Amino acid sequence: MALKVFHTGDVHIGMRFNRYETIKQDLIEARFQTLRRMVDMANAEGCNLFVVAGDLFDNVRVPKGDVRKAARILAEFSGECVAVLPGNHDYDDGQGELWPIFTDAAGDRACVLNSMRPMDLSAYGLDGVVLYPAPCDAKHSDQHRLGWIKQLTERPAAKWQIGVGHGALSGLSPDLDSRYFNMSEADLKFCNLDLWCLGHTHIAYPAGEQLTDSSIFNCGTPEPDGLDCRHQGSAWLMELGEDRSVIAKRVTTGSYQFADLQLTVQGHDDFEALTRQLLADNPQKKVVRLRLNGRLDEDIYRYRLDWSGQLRDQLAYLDVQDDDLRVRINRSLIDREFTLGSFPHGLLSALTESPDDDEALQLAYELVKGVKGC
Amino acid sequence: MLIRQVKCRRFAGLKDKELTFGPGLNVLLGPNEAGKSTLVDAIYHTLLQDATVDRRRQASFLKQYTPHPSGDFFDGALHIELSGQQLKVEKEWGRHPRAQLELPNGNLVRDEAQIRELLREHLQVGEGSLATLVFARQSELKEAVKQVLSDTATQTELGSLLRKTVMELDGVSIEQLKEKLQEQLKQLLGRWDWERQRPEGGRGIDNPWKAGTGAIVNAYYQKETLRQQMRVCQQLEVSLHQISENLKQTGEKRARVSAELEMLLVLDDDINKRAALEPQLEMQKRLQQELMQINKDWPKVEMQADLKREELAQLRETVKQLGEELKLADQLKVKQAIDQMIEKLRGLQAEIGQLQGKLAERPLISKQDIATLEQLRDQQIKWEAKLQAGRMIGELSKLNASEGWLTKGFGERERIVAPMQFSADGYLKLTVPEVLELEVKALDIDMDQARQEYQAAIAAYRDTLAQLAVSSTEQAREVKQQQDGYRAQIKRLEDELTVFLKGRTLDDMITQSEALAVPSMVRDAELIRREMQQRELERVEKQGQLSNLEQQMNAWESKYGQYDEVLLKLVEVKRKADDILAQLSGLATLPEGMGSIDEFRQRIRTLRQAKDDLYKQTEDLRDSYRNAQANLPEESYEELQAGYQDAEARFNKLLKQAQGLLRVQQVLEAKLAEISSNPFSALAESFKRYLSCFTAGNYSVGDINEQFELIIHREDGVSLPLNILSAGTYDGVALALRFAMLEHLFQGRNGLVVLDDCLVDLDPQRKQQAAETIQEFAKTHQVIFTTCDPATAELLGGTTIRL
Repeated sequence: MALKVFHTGDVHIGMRFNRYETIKQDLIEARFQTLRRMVDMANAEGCNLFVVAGDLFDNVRVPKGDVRKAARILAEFSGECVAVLPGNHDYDDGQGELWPIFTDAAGDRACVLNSMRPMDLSAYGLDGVVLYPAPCDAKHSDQHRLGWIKQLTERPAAKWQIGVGHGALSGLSPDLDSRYFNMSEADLKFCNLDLWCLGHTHIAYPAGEQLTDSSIFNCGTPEPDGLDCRHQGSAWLMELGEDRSVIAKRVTTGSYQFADLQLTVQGHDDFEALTRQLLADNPQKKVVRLRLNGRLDEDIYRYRLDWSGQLRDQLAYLDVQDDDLRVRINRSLIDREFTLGSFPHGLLSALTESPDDDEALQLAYELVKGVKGC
Repeated sequence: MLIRQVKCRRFAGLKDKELTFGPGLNVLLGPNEAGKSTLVDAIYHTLLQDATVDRRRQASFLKQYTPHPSGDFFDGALHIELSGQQLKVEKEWGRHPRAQLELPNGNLVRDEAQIRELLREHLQVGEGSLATLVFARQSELKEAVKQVLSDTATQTELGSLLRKTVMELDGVSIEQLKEKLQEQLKQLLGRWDWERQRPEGGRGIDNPWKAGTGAIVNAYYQKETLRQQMRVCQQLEVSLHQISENLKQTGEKRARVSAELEMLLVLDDDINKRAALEPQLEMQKRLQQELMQINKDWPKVEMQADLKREELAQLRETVKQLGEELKLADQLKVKQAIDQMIEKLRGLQAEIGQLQGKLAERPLISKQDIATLEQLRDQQIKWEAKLQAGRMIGELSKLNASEGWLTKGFGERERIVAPMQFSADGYLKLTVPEVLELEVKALDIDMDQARQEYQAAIAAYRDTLAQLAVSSTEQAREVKQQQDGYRAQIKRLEDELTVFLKGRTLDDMITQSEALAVPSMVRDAELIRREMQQRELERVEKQGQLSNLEQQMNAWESKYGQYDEVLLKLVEVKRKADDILAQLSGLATLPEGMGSIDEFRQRIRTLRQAKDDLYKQTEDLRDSYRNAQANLPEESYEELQAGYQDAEARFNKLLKQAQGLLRVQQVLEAKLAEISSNPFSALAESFKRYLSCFTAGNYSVGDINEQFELIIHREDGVSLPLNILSAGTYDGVALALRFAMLEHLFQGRNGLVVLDDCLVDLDPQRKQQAAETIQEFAKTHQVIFTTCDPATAELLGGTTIRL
């Protein structure tokens, strides 16, 4: 009989989203909804084990109510066991209140993988399944927590030996300062386990929707949480065969989608194209930052405000950064707007002579326009 | 540039209009509301306004020219001749905006940006200039002139006035521009040291500027505050982590200590029993050893005691013999002392005898004797002194006698011979036998009595000396002194003798000596005494040794009774020791590495203390942990970092903006300097010329008065400030300025000007003069003049186009 595992992590319940003031409550609530959605998916798939590979919570001071709420959602998992690993955001140093509160509220089928020792799940009704946790006991560390597995001289007999870890996986996410329990695939393989369920990097790994030849998986965040997260949120649905084979399927889990676009806009058509792109596919769940640059004719330049206003009404959130989007100021414009020999004409013309003066030209133009007719 | 034709299907109220213009003067004549201005607008917009417009932003434009009530577009088409080449511009505004430029070569361009660029290239005059000078309404130009003239602060001469007028034609006041720039710079750079790129005075977030701060300083403070918060947050996170690590280590220590303590406490009962038994065993062992030793020593001690007793007996005998010998030696010593004393006493007695013999050799002289001698002698001296008081001297120079005698004082007579000198004390008697008897004597001395007493004293003195057997008083004194010495010696010797005798007699002593019969061969007493002392020491030592031995035996006897009982006791002790050993073998031993029970107990105490200490440390650390956690900022380091990055980006953006504005300021100042050096003299000449024309020669340009008013000189010499000119004159001035600037703009090329009815306020003479000026201008430029007045049209001449 196969073992079905639902592998997620990096849910970051408790993240505050202060940068998205208008929708912060929606984004906060979305993480609970996604957790519930994943439990429903796991239940629908008949999963035996629900693994959260770290950072279920965004920090160790998440309000107690939120901790209990998340625990209650996980308690709805109908499989045998929910295994939750403390990650670097919700680390367990044995002192905080987070994990005791969670444990109290999560029910009998939940276990917190906060000890570096084999976790035999037979007590949860999963005979032959042993978990090997690599939990985080601090926010930062330059050492992963795999060492104890490598040094283990004797292992419990098990049909499936599954590692659950949290940390930066070399090659997947940069950890230049080695602050995030950095580990490599070689480290993981050295442990000689059947499967590794990892968390930390918010991108799923390996790439692909359905995989049969991998044993190391990073869940990625199930609900995008920032502009650097450009996917729709996913988790792994895995089936471990009697022969220890692993079939993994990536399932989409998120509700919000973040987009961070940097574009050069040259005219009206670009705005229209951008509008079409952003309003496609569930725009009311899109959180968008637009960083626009380019030079526009003044009427189009002014049009951008109306355009962004309309767009903002249709998206969940829109932040337009258009400091580098300017009126196209050239001799033609200057001649058109100012009389030859007039001071604005002379001033602006002088500033067109060097491309280095572009910023000054823009400012001078705005100044002149501000004063004109006063 | 020449506009040849204008067409429109719909443009505001105009419908299917097509007008053709010729070079030179074109007068567009029509009544009010006929659409003259609309037609000019159609020309203007067709030429300069894009067909594609923002419908909301330019709604008023669209509304103004879209035909009412049912029109949805308006359009315009222009045929333009430029240097003999034809251009055709068509534009349509509305739902389907459209623009097209037909180039001289027949090519069509429909991209509006390109159309704009090509027109600009061909027209050689900017759209701004066209709008301001070519198509401007006269009223607008007058307004521009009026604005410049109202700014009296900067104008002091005509060149400056014209310069400013030209520069501000677009309605942009240089002063306002500068003020605005300064304001923006201030808003940005307030309290910011641009050169050092930091707040003024280096005042950071610990001592920030509160007033007068610009956006850059504020952004800087915001950024730095966030950075500080990041640092604090990071420190707190590190601190929290450190406390957590300490807690872990303390927990591990506690676990180790507790485990060891529990292990030791399991052994504690056995170890305590062992602690009680082991000393007992030790005591039994010691007792056993002791008994064995006693068993061995007891007979030996008894033998030693007997030996000591014998030695002591021998010593006592020796001491006794020595005592007797010492007694004889002491008697001999007494006898020798008595004999010596007898000898000495005899010596004393002999000496006393000798002294007494010497005393007997002379009469004894007493003190009285000495006093008598001294008194007699004193009497002699007294008489002699008296005589000496009457001292006389004489000189015998001649004696005519055979003999002569001289008696002096109490002396005998003596023979005198002449010549001689003599002296005498108190009395002198010169006798020359038979010749002379001369006595000379002192007045107060009875010489006879004196001599008698004097001689009696001498005789008594000599008798006394003879009795005492001395020759002089001095000898008498010496003898007396000698006799006194003898007597004192005798007294001392007699006293000494008395002391030695001590009430005895010498004979008694001799008898005593003879009574002491002592053998002559006796050792020295001291030698005997030393030997006795030595023997006594030996005795004491041996007596001590004996006492010790006896004490030891007494102790054994009192403890064990008989010697035989020691063995019985030994057997009993051995049995007890075996019992204890058997009990100990059933008890746990001390942990490995622990040398003693004391060490075991000390270890338990140490571990208990360590456990308590570690518990306290844990509690303290937990408090610290809770405090550190409570002190963590609400935002995490990562959130603060994101905020910091935003703040830094904003700060950098403001810096860039400030840099741009400073550059604007730099270019602005340079431009102002450049322009101020342009005298605009050609423009000024044109202006003067046109002013004279438009005011029918009635006015010429004068200076600017003290109130900075432009003074216009009237023909009759009266000067009037421009602001009190009549409307007509004002129009003339404005027209003169416009024409001067158009000349300046076209720079000798053929140009175009659209004039609305600018002659309406002029009197006939001026109107005539202005018409001539316009006609003159129209010789080189195209003029489109709109008027509702046929007379004006007639006055102007040219091509009249009726609308």
